[in-house]
Amino acid sequence: MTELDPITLEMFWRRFNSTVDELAATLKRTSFSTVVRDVNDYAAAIFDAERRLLAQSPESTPGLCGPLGNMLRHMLIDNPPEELRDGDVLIGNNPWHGSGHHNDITVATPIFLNGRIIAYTVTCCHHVDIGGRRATIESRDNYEEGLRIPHLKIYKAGELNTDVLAFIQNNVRSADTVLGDLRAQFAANHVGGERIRSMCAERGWDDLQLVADEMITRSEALARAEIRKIPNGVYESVSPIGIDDGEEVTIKCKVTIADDEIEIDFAGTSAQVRTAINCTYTYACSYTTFAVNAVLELPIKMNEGTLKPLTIKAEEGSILNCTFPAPVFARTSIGNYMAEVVFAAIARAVPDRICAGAGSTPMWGQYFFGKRRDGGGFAPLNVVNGGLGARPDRDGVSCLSFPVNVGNTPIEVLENDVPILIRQRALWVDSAGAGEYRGGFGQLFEVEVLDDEHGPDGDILASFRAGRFTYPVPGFLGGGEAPNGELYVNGEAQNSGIQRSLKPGDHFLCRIPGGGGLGDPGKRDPALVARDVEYGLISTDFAVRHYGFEGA
Amino acid sequence: MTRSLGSDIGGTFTDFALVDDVTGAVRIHKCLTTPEDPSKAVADGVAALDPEALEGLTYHIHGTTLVINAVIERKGARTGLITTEGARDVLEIGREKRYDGYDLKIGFPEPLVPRPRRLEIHERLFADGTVKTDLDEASVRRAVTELVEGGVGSIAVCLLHAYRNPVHEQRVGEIIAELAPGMPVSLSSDVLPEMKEYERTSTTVVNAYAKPAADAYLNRLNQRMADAGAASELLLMLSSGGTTTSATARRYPVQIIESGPAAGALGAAHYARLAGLDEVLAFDMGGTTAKMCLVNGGSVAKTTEFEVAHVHRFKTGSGIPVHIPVVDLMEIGAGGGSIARITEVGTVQVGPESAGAKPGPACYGAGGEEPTVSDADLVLGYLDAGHFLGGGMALDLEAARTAIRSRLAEPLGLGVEDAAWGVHGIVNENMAAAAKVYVTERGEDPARYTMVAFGGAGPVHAVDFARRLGVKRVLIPPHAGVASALGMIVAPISFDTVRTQPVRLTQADPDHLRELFAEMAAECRARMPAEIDPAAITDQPSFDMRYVGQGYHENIPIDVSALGPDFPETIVAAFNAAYTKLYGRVYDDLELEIINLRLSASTPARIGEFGVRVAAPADAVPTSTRSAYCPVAGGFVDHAVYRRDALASGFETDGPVIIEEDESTTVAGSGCRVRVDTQGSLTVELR
Repeated sequence: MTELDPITLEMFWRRFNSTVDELAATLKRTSFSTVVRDVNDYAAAIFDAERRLLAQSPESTPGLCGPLGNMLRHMLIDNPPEELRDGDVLIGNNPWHGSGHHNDITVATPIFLNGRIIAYTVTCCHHVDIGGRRATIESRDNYEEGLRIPHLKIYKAGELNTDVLAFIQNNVRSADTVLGDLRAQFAANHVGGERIRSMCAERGWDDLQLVADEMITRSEALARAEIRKIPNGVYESVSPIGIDDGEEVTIKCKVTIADDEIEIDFAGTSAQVRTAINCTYTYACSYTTFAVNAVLELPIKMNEGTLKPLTIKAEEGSILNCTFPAPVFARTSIGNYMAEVVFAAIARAVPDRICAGAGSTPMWGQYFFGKRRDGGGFAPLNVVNGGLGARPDRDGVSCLSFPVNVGNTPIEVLENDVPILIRQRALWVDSAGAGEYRGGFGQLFEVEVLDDEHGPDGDILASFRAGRFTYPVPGFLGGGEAPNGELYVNGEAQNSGIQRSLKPGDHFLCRIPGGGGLGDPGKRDPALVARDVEYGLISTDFAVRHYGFEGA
Repeated sequence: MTRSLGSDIGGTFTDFALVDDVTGAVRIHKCLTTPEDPSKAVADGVAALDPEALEGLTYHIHGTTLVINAVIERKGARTGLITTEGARDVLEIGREKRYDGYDLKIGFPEPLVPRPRRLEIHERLFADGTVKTDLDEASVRRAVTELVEGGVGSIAVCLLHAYRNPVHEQRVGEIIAELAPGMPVSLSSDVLPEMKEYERTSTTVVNAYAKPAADAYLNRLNQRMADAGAASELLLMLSSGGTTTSATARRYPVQIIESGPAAGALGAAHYARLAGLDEVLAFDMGGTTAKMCLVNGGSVAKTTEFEVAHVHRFKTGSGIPVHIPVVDLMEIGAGGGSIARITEVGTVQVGPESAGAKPGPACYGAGGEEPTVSDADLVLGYLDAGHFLGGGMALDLEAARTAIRSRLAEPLGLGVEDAAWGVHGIVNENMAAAAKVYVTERGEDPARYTMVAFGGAGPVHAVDFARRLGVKRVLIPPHAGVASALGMIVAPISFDTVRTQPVRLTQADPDHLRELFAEMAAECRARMPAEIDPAAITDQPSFDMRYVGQGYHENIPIDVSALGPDFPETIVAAFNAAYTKLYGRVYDDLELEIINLRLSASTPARIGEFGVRVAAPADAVPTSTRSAYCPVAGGFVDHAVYRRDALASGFETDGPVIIEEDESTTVAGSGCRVRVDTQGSLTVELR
């Protein structure tokens, strides 16, 4: 192999990234699951022969992308590379090795050239069903949460392993869809492998290690240089979080910056809980990594090199490193907070690289189950988002998903699918934390269940996701907090995680908070305060109280 | 003698193409755009093109950037918005999704209508279009009065479920007309009768925002053309690749928001069709961006998901949604002006930043110091310093070499030529990567396609780009510099319409669907010029369909006869065929539903053949020989240089060869066979 010049390196670096894009496009297109298509709840990545991450799909949910490397390593412990043959394909969904719950099935394909493994293509998708109980936080252990697939070969030397397939087929609802989506993963991995082999063929190379080494070395150096810009020190945050049944947990986060290394230690965080919101260590790491990446804002995409300077610790048995068989289905309820707790810790060290707490953390929404009068059933997840936190040089965005990325369902689509009527989807006045830069505004989302011929056949079972009922969305660096979230059914205040049967004529109101503010509200440009008053986004009273407003 | 005229206003130039309807003879012209009143350049250009150009003119087809500029520059009317109670913030809330997962500084465009001018009225429809709450006319009067007193110059009305029943919107329109006679009004049920309130509101607001400006402009243009003696009807180029009357364009200015790219693709594809090629990847590479578009059987790929005025130019989701039929185009930041820089990891990145027209590439000698794609092209010998733009502009080779040497080659320890080839190769690689995703997402295979290259930089890059993409044949049409103006002439007169009618396929009534299509066909005809022979109009009905529960739908063209006795099996078959092409499989156990009905009515492409050249003896000789980089040979080799206008039909040669014309330069290295076809197009076969 000749020496690698910067032009060739750029070409191949890009090629890895564009191959992952192509792989992701193939997967997204061919997948039936709406969570894959609409919510980007999939991930695709390429690893080198030494199991180091080279490129991953940038649009993917962090919770699915982050764990792929760990999953691959575990798969290869059970299936050592030296025993793999061309045409083997591995499958598995262990939450402790991968993305934290059973629905996410990972498929890994070793890519061979001349009898040697030169890379792995890996994809993971949230599948529509995995058996067990349906979407619920009530499972009391992981065994209730559906089928566990050990790290097996789903293909052996190019032959489909029908034994494994039959086990899956017999244990999931909508088996055709699940198997179809698995085939999409096999196909996508295969396409990725073809591209990687053709990259070698183009240069007559035996493998791509030269490029891989160079990518990783340079990326690591860049990440370390960026970390050096952060002042050394130990930065801590303590975040109490109310959970559904009135309990609360505390997340303690200690960030240590030592020259070009970052260590994040969650020691002291609460123990795992009965409710199915526990995070496996791998899952907690993925959202923590997301936070660090957002802070570092590197001009390159994530790979093994950018990850190297980061160490994450969480005590075994804590809610961020739960032990088997803890129930884990709704692990986003806790995992979503990782960005905020990391930002809260290091806000003073890097005030220009963070954003304040988001009202859209955790994700709010409702699952509606029921029947229409025309006989059709419905079971959509409707997501409604609060505001993004204030940024160092600008206000937060109103009603924006963070850190997951799930948009809303249009009112007209929702009303077509479900016999309900949306009374309002409106910006919530005074819902954004004050600050030199204020948070984005939250949302008032009000729904009534229709009556008579427009109503449902029977009741609607509504399962609510909500948060911030006990502890408000925090502002940072002197910025104000947003008001608590609230949920009312027929005018009565409710707990956050309720499941309710709604009758025709019933109505509910979600008050989803805005984002926290950043910086001293006294420093806010008075013209912007006046504009917010004029626009009816803040009341005069709020403006007087928080900003000393003198106009109007 | 009858003629057709195409005129296309661009940022810098206004282009003209005048075609003799009988002989197909083409005359072209370019003049500077006059931003203060773009209609002036049109009138001036027509006069300069041919004093008798207007004599016997049948059609004048016009494309303009007026609407998109109004939105981008925020120079539209002070607009008010009337919505259903509880929905005034829909325009600001949008879809609540981040377009860039890791960007904490993410931003979205400010709504075109700020909150105080978004007013709610008391009324409500159910999802099936029946009335839940009657229209409270007093609330309408209050809202209209408040807007008028607030000085609005245009009003948009978007009520929930109005796509299903326009009765409340129409009554609001009447009340506005009564209280504010002459006030431009845009009703969502008229502009875009399609489900999804955010996208419909946004589209209607853009329409309202641009309406007064479009109206004034079209009046001026009509006046100028009439003053110049044109009796022809003015047609406007639509974003969808069709054309429409100026009356329709006045009513729906949002429909002409982006006409240039559609026309360019059509113009390019026209020459491919003349050459007997029906599957075309149109590739337009200019100074700042490269655009690609699939054209099958002469019709451009269309989509209805479109955005304008992006916060981040190449990030979908960062713009203002405009859900009208537009050409389904892929655009990336790769052009002659794209800047090459050393990245923080010591590699070379090309674009998306561009040196633009000012200062432009270093070789323009206008103060640009950063190396660009054009600088690389010059160093590689592809461009002739003394013959750029037909000799109209001298290029500075030394400046190009200095920029590449000092900013790239020396810091990286490369030779100047190697660095230049790196820049050229990387920009081609970027385009190939984007094109692969674009083409495969549409279920197509690049190897089957012919690339038709135009734009100033297109023919320079096409052959190497095609090789990287796996395309085997490249065609460079004549008059490539005015492809948009030519495309306008061949564009069919057309109109597209939509109705949202969500229904499960098993519960759909084919008679009702047929009636709806008939109604839509009548509506389309009403929007087309009256003198068109109805027999010449073809309708393409289609359904937007999906499996129940899916978030996305696919557009499935159908034949009305499919709504007959074999319904719905006929529709299932059409869906399965399309779905298999896109996704490789179908799910027989899942139920299908129809979301939207669409109908596109159009005349045939307007001119069968033009630009036909008489075959002459193929005895052209090279004007010179130039050393230029050949990737196949792996170094600099001598290329024979020809003037394109000296090449007659039938001319053939092998690469390496460079063919120069005023607007561009075609580079075909070793392993290429180059031929001039009977229409004057250059075809390059890659081997």
